[in-house]
Amino acid sequence: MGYLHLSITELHNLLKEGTVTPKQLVDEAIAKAKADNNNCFEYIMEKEAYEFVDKLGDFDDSNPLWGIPFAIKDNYSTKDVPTCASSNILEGYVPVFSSTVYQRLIDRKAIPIGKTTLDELAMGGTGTSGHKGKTYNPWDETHKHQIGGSSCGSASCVAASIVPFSIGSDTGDSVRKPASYGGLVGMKPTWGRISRYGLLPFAASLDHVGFFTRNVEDSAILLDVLAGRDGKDFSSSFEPVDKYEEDLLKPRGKRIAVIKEIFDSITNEEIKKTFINTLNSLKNAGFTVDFVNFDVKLLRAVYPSYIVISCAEATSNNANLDGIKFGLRESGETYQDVTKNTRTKGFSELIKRRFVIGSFSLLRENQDVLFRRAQKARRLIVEETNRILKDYDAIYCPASPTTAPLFEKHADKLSNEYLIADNWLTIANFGGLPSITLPIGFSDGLPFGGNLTSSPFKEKDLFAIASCLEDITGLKNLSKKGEE
Amino acid sequence: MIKLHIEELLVKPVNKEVLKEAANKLMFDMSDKEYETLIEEFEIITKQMELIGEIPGVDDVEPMTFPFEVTNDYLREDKPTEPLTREEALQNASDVVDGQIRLPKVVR
Amino acid sequence: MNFEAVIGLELHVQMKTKSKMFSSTPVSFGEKPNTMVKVYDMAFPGSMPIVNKQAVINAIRVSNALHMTIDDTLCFDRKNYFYSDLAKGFQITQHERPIGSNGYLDIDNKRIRLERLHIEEDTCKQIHLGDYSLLDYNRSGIPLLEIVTLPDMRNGKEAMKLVEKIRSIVTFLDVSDGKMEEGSLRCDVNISIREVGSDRLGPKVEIKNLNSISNVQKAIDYEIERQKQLFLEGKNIVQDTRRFDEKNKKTVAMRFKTDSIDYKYFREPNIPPIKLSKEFIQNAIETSPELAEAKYERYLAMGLSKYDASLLVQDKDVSNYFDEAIETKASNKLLVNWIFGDIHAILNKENISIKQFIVSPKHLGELVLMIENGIVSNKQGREIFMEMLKNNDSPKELIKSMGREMISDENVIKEMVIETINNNPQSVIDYKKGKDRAVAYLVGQIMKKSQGRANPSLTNKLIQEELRRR
Repeated sequence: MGYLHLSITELHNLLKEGTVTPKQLVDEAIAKAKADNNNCFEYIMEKEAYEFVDKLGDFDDSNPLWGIPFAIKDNYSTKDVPTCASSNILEGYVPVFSSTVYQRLIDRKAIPIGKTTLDELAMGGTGTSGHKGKTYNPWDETHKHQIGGSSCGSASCVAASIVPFSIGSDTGDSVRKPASYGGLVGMKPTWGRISRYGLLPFAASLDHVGFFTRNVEDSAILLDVLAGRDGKDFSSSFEPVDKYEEDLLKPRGKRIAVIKEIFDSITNEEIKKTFINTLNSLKNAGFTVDFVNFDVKLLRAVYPSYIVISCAEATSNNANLDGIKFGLRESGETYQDVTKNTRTKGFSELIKRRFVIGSFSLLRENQDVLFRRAQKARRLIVEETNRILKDYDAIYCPASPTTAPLFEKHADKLSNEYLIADNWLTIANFGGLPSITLPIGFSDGLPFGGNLTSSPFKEKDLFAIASCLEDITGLKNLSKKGEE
Repeated sequence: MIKLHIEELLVKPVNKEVLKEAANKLMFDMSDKEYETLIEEFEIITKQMELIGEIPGVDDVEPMTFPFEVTNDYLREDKPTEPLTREEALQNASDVVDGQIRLPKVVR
Repeated sequence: MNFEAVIGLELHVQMKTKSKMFSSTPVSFGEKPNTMVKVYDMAFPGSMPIVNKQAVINAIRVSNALHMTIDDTLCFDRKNYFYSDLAKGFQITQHERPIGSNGYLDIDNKRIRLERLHIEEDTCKQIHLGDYSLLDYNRSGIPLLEIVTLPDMRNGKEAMKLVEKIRSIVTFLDVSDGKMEEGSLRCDVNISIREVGSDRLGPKVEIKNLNSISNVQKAIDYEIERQKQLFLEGKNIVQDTRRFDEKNKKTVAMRFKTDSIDYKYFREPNIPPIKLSKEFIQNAIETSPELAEAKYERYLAMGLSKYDASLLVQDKDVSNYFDEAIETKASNKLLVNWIFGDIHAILNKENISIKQFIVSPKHLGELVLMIENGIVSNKQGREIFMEMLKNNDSPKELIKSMGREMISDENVIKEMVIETINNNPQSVIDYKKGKDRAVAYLVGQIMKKSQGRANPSLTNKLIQEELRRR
């Protein structure tokens, strides 16, 4: 049967009682990781995990992460453990330093058991562009459905109950969308709430550390551990850190806004019906729930602005991958040839196309009309969102207009459903807003989620509202138990 | 500043030569097929970027770099800390000579 | 046809902070390659910039000395390009909002306008060896100041004086070593010529990699002539980049083309804007080390000659040495003589700087004070000085251990005088005959007897008194 389908809190209690040992949990996680057929892992940290177990010391009741196995997206720097961000260009790269997130987790005696797959360099949303190929959704054993991306491996391994939590990163929706497709709780806090030191940057002004759990309380526990100022990340916030997992079912604010234009753009009736039911239940639980308007022109501009800004920044952030200091190096007669051959071979075609788009937007003659204009649109979008959040404690909408899409699905990239309902989560990246997706229903055996987004540094209230919603739906600790 | 219709601005230069030059400046190359795919993508993206242009008043605001107005007055004290050992610094480089990274000649 | 040259300069000043601009890696020169490196300097994935406070303070101080407006919000931008010495594939600099702007320096009553001063980071060092190159990242990330002038200079001399003035400012502010030979001060020249009276600018030529202040002047003077010649011959002046061939004393085209590169500048997203409070800026300025000009005025006010004062302010370390020495209240003039006499002779002989000179300013001052107060003679003072060169022992200690304390007790000397004269009756006769040598001979005898400790002037006086009595 195993234990790793249980929550962090439940595992903690079992460890406390002595019903199970950390080594047994690691045995289970490693065995499942090795047997995994969803392509969750870039690298399984078998040797390292047992070394961590050996150094655990005594059980610490005050530490909820003691002895708990976890996985981390392979775009986080991990000292002495290969890190390649699912790209050939980082072949052979072994960092000499760790990201702050990873360091904080191992300092708290959680046990890392693997680096998970992602869309190459975190630039994607389908979980298909990593150099090892597609990552599958454990909810569909026929492997026809995506788990989304870019944090595909991190999402799948929690959904497959290989580990109770995993770390991802969220630049456009890369934690909160796969969470919807995987029946998980996917959370990203305010920009700067968690240090990005050691996280390979995609677009620094949009990047957030995020994580997957199977219930809201576990998510809050993780934020407690990871949040807080880090001197190594200049952009990390000095705001004091709350005790997020306390007072979970006691939200201080109970006003919820549903953006009508997002809801209206969805065509899946079942999802809409389920969502409306949750609205009614929330009202019954004492919440005020209003449909509010959001300028449709702004909503339709979210995705294009995101593409321009993120690709532009990404072009710059990945300019250090030149074959000289680390990673893949191809030969050449001159330095220029070495770098050119390395980057031509090491980057996938999709990534190169993204870089060209980004670079094009930054050219002097184009910058005003493309990059800067996208940044102006960002401002207007954020202002509109904050206008709503002044009067409401959270915005709440379906996290995705569909359940997990098929791999061959081709969306009409100019439709409202694609532009608005499929990409509205990016608003929380534009404004650095804390945001959480949690499961609210099933359709044809596949889960889908709702997303709550709040004002900056209001994570405590966000968690409280989310746990009420979780209480209402009763959907928590969902997973596919997978092979024994 | 002339407010150019994006299509007019981009349709003229978005051809294989322009994109190839952009790619080469980024120190990589793509296959012919990829350039074709890219041109197709550009058509869609151009249409999507038009949507930005449709926002009334978009050019009247300041570009936004950071998610919210965050300024602080923190600066790092000028205290040196232990550097990496030379081994750590160079262990990921594949061509090292005399403690330095070697490159074939740099064309200046 | 009358020509004038239109000259602008772009200077880079390497700061000698203790740590690098955006990482806490030590700044230390002459180390083995790649031993002064942390993850940021080699652009390991996930590394991030953290702004160095002292570098900002330095930038404020230099901006202030250049009469610039100081921006109270500190912002950084990325300058994106690929080159083997640029680890990240971009340099963090200040494009849109430089910390200093709209300044000036007066050179010989002419105002040279300074467009901007901004903070950026250095690239790594490359050694080109035939068909391969070697990279050393020790230098990568060291803080730099970039100063850009407007093209207000008209000849090599003016340009050289401007560079000298900037060198003086950055060395006296303790910001940089300011040595072009070592690369801590770099100067690129932009130069074109035009007919006097025209405001059309001719094609601009850039001269790079100048390695001394005097070469700045030489290169410019040569280039002006070269361009004039070309113009007079009806030939084109190619807009290119040149270097100065020191041996042949001419500028030579460098082999690479300079396409105008699009650097795709955008705001550095990992560094949110930093508010510099009025107090912070004020404090940085008020606690500035003294500039050369201020020291010069102070020295004049102390009574030093213009010549001595200007000698002292040529080198910050020398003037600092002097400033510390005068705290002992020794005579300024005497100290100046010691510094530019004996001490400089030693510095030159041993090829060291005054910073490496073993005798501390305090001890020098004490010694000079003792000579002034007649505790030791000049000669004894010199002996003690030679002894101080070994270990920088305190002169007060040395007097005791060397037994060199001058004897100024009249009774003691009188005894010696009487004894010596008694032993040298011929001197009495010589003296009465009018031979001055007699006195000198007797002084010499007493010096020998007292191991040089007898107060010479007192001895001389007492000898003459005694001789007159005989």
